[in-house]
Formats: sequence, structure tokens, C-alpha cells
Amino acid sequence: MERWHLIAAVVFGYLGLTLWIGLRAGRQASSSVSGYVAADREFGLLVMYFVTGATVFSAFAFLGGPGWAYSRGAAAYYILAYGVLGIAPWYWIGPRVAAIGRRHGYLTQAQLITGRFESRGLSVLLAVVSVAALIPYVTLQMQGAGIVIEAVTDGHVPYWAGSAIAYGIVVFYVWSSGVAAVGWTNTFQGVFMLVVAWAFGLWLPVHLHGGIGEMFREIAAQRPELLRAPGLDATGAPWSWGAWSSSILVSAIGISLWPHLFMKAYAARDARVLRRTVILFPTFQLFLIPVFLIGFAGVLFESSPESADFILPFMILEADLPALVVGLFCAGALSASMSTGDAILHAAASVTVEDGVRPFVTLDDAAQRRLIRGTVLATGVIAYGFALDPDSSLVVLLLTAYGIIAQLAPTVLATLYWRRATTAGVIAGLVTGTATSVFFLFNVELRPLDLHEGILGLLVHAPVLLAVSLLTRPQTAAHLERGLVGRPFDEATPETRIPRVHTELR
Amino acid sequence: MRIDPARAVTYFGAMNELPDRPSTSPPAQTPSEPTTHAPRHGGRVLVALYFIAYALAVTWPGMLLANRIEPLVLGLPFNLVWVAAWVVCGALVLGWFDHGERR
Repeated sequence: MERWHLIAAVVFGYLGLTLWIGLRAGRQASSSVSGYVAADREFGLLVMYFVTGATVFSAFAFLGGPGWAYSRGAAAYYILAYGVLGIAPWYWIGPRVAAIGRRHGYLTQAQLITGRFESRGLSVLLAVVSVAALIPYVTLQMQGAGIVIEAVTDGHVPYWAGSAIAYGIVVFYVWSSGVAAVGWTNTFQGVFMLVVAWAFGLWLPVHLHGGIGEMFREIAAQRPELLRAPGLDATGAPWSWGAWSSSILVSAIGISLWPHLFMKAYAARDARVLRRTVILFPTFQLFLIPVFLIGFAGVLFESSPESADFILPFMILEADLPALVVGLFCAGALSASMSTGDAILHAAASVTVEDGVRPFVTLDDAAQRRLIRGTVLATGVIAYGFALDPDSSLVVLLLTAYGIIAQLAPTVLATLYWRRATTAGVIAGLVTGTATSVFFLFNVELRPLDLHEGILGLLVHAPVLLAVSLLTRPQTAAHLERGLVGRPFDEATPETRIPRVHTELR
Repeated sequence: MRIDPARAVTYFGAMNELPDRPSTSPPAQTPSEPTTHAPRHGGRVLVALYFIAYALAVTWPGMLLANRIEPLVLGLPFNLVWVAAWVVCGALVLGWFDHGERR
């Protein structure tokens, strides 16, 4: 039996276990749309903690994180910096979103926004923006999975097959069990990710350099520019403070607004769970430190991989470890990828149907559920098609996505906290902010202070939202009173276990 | 339910004071909220201040001050530990605030 057979066996064993968990999870949730999309609003702390952590940290964290540490040094620290800054507002926003969602039976982010700013055009715009941001994101996860499987099996399981098998399984359990599958597989995968990251991250520096401190002293002696913030940019030149700072800010602003994370507020059992998830999130996030160590461990290595993103599988294979360990490492990397990919596929399908189709077509609960399931399959196939076709425009699309997702911040804040906001203001702000962000993405040299285009978009979005809202007729008090804005008590009583509300579908 | 205007100061600053209105939600759909104590106004401001300080500490200009490799803490470069420390303290600050809310 060759080495790669053993490794593949471990990997397939892991995949089989994940599939089993995903399929079993579906039995707990009801067979309604609310069950499929929001798990009947029943997720407890354990699941929410891992759903949040494992979903946020994707193949980018596992492959890109070490890749950044390896090639760009301290620039990678920005990934650690923005997390808790971005998740902290969720302490207040999450429970408010959840309470309003319970009151009105909301399942998606756009429903929250258009519940107050009634416009089918806005609903479709939000759906298109969300899906346009989510598809490249999941495509990159599929690519990451294919790359890792191919690397650890020495190419015997080719890229297209590894990606298809891993994501065929994801599509299967998401199709079958909806968000309950996402929740429970993320719990399993989250544990896996953490264990693998900490184990390898602590072991590799000791194995290669005799210790973590020793490793950094050697790097400081030979390549000190890697250890001083803000590190290097993609070309190897020093990164600017403007880009470093604005990357942190844009990522922080966007993190809780990504549709697949945002809608998990509806899945949580109560406000208590949401708040504890926020407080505990940094404990998950600290796993980035060993991830960085893996990248740094490769800096002084004699040979180098073809691309910085391959440094992690490269180091693992170079270290000549037992097949079982290599297989488990691959499972850890797949965990990072699939735990993000499943949430994204589920969210993209839910948003397409709930926000793109339902405003125009009347569907009963069973028909909606069937349509969402079908869309999960279709989205998976489309994303896989992109994954097979390495196209530089896809990376561009993902970079655009971050700037666009950040544009949702003023919209969501206006929905929840600003009574004077109007539909016209929200739409105008969203359109101009997004356009500005896209403009500066394609005209990099025009950026003032090298700021991220998402920040520049927000600098346009916010004043436009303010001005147009003030210039148009305010919403009536009766409209706002229907609980759309939310009331202080939503935040004041975390102990109240809100009983399940019969979800009247609008 | 009288809403104290001071409580309406949200994390992001008051864009608008929520006026004093009686609850109008249908009783069948929402439970009657048991009145716990009001959230501490001061606590929220402290949390907000902490995260503003955090943002300044990990971006420009705060990072300029901490941008050293030595001394190594647990083997890690000082600037990495700086960021990690602010992260951990952020969790502690939120946890402290949350604990205050629950009492």
C-alpha cells in the first residue's frame, strides 16, 4: 500500500464522517422553510460559537494566512487585528436583528432591510449584491479544497476530482438538511481546524528551528523587514500604513455583514447565546497565531513552493510526517474550507429565493423549500464551474466583494437605528457607495492615501444616505412603530427566552 | 414603558432619540418583558471608548509605537503580542460589560 493510499483513506474517512453528521443534523429541524434556513431559531451556544468561528475562518485563513506570513510577514497580523473589532458591535446589533426577525418571521438580511424600506427593487439589488459577493468566495473555497487534496496525495487525486468530491459532499448535506447541517458540521470542523492549527503551528517551529523564540530571532537576523508592521505588499515592497489601517477597518466593518453570517442571528436560540458567541469569538480567533507560525517557519526554508499560498501543504509534505498525520492535516484544511463553503452555498440559495424570487412570485412553504434546495445544487454547480476555470477576474470579483459588503453597514445601521432614514435615501446611498467602491477598485492609482476602496465607498455612501433621506418624506410613525426599528428593550433583556413565534410568511 | 432618553444612546451615538411610546406589539406574538434593570449608560461608553482605543492601537498611529520585534513574549514578536493582547482584552471588556448587564 502506497503512502498516498493511506493519506487518501484518512481524508475520505473524514469526509464520510462529515457527511454523516450533516445528514443526521437535518432530523432535528422542522421541514419548514424556517427550519431549513434558520433551524427553527434553536441554535445554542456551542453551535453558534463554531458556526461563527468556523464560517469566518475559511481556506483563506488556512492557506492564505500562512501564505501572507511567509511572503508578506507582519502584514498578516491584520487578519488577527480586525476580528474582535468587527464582531463587537454584533453584541448589540445581533440581538436586535434576532428580536425583529422573530417578530416578523425574517430569515434573511434583505428581509430585515426591506421590511422597513419596502421596495422590491431594493430586495433584488440586495440579493444580487449578496450572491455576487458569495459566489467567488465559495469558488475560492472549492479551489482551496482541490489544491490541498491534490498536494497531499502527490497528485494522484487531481485538483478537479478532490474539489468535486469534497464539495459534492457539501452540496449533498446542505441540500438535505439546510442550516442545521451547516451548524453541526461546523462544530465538528471547527474543532478539527483548531486542533490541527495549534498542533502544527506549535510543532513546526520547534521541529525546524528548535523553538518559537529561536525561529523569530533567526528571521529577525536575516529578514527583519518581515517582522515589522505593516510588513510587505504583494510585490515585496513595504506595505503602506494607509492600506494596512483601511484593510483592518473595512474587514472589521464587513465581517458581521456578510449575508451568511448575518442571517445566523435568526438561527440563535436567544440574545444570551448571541452575546456569548461575540464574547467568546476571540478565543477562536487566536488560532491565527499558530497559523502565522506555520508560515514563518517556512521563511528560512531552503526550497520554496510555486506560490506563497501553497506554503502550508508544502511545509507539511517537506516535514516527512507519518501518513496518518498528513491525512489529518488535510482534513483540517478541508474543515476550514468546507465550513465556510457550506454556509455560503446555503446562504446564497436562501437569499436568491427569499429575496430575489418571493417578492415577485407567490410560493407556499413547501415550494419555497424545494426551490431553495434546487438553488443550492445550481449554485454549487456554477461555483464549481468557475473553480475549474482559473480566471484572474474571479480574484478581482472577490476583492470587489469586500468593498461592496462594507456598503451594507450604513444600510443596516439606518434600518435599525435611524428613524429618519427613508427608502430613497437607503437606495441612493447603496448605489453610489457601491459604484464608488467599484470605481476605485479598477482605478487603484487614484486612491487617496492608498485607502481601501470600501472605505472610499463609505465616505460617499454615508453623506448620500443622510442627505437624500433628509430631503425625502419621512416614514410614518405607525410604520416605524410596527417594531421595525427595534426598541431598547431588545437589548436590555438578554435573559428572556423568546418562545418560538409562529412564523407567518409574508 | 417609560424610555429614559439616556438609554437611547446607542453604541453608534444617537442619530435620533426614540420617543416615549406605549408598547403596541400584539400580546399573542411577544411575551411581556420582565423588567430587568436598565443597561448602564456609563458601561456602554466605556466599551465604545475601549474599541476606539483598540482601533487606534492596532492601526496608525498606535502601531507605530508598538512596532518592535524585541522583547519576545512567549517567543512571539512584541508587535504580534501587542495585537493579540488588545484582542484578548477586547473579549474581557465585553465580558465585563455583559456581566454587569446580567446582574
